[in-house]
Amino acid sequence: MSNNDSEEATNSTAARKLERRYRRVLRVYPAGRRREELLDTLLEMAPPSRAWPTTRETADLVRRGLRARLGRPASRAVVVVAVMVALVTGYLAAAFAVRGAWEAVPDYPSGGKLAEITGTVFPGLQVDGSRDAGGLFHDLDEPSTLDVVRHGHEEDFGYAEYNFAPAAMYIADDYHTWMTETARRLTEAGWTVQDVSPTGATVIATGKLDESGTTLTADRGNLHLYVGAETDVVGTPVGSFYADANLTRMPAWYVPAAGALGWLAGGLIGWLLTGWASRRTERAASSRVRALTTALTGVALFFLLPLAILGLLGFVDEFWITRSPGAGPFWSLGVTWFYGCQQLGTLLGLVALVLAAFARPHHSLLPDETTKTTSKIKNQSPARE
Amino acid sequence: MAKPMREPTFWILTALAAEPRHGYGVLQEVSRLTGGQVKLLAGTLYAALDRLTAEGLVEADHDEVVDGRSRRYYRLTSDGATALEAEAERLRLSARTARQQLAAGRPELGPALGRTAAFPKLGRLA
Repeated sequence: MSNNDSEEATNSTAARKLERRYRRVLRVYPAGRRREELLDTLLEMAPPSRAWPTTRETADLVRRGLRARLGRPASRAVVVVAVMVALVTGYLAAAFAVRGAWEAVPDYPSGGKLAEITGTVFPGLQVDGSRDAGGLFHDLDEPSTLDVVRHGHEEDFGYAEYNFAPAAMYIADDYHTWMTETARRLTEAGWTVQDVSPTGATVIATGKLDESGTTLTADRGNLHLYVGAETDVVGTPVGSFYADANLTRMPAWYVPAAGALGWLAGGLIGWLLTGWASRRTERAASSRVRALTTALTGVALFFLLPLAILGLLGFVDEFWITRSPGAGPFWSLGVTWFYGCQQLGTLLGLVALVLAAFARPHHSLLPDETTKTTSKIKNQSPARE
Repeated sequence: MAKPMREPTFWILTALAAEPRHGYGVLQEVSRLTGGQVKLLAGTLYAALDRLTAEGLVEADHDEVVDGRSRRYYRLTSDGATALEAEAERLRLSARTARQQLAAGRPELGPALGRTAAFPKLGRLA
């Protein structure tokens, strides 16, 4: 084989690789002739030395391809709708992803491990304790699955906790001294004490705190500990204070990671679904089908979008700002106060999708029949014009 | 009054004004007409062609298959030609106003500012 032949073979292999790489990027466009048209243009534009699509080119293709998936090229409204739908589907997917990831988080300690914690907080005292629910969440009403499906959860729905306190309820000591000692014991046992704060009623006239107790929070591993000492609980003997504590599980790193992936994957699915429905109804034979699908999507978004926006803010707050599991999961509004909105919005969204699935394209508006075209075949290698 | 065209739209319509062209042909023509100052990316070009087709300013002319790859030629519609003409007139008036203002502020440069040779790009736009 001559040097020229060898060089030609190398160039041809490189060109095929570049074509394959372009084809991979072009999958972002909806299937159809546009991919081939773009491939032709991209290969014509590429200098002989190019082995990979450039970053600028790829970013442009991804952006324009995602837009092309929505159809209706002259409409800006379809982009706004797609962003809103993506937020909603991202929210729903993130809720399921986070719920699933919690299953892998270690459960509350029991037996000797639990006794070590309760003994460190209340040494030398008999301690009573219990979980407020067997599963990941608690609901004061303890509803059946059917009740939950019909009505959602009650307003205090949140993560289950392990509550414990001295069986005698009161500790005969000065609460300041006791809490200082408790912080020392916890630190020695490997806990990181986060905060010790006074509690009590605020005097309205002066704005000052009328201190009557103190609280402590500490973390160790995936556990968050709260300890409270209070003197103004009814029935507290003089010289004693009322004490209680609870443990809550903290999410492992993979819980917010699963949530973030859920937002992205769900958002992408929502975008693609909007595109699919938009392109089907864009060519729908019946204008009534188009109008009904649009109206249903609008009403569904009216019910779901506020939940998705609040959910996004709650997600960031739950895992990166307050990092407190006490407020309940970021999606709790959708199963408590706004349960009906969430159910109705989801139902209407699904009906809109079903309508889009049954929308029959208008024959004269099929993509390749919009204009009269003539075809001719050229058997020539692509030449730069 | 119609909205001013974005620059890529203006140049794509201009590139199609003389004859139908396929995607790469449009990109080459835009580059030639602007002296290489406007270089469109392929994704941007086809997004604009889709939009202009939906707006009725451009339409498919004919297809070719070269080396197994589809190549579609696009042409300007009569609405497209009207829109391009209107935009060219708008740019001409804008350029004239700018030249008049410049001449009023700097009378010693007045005659030179009137010549398109002094502002080749402006002259071409107008």
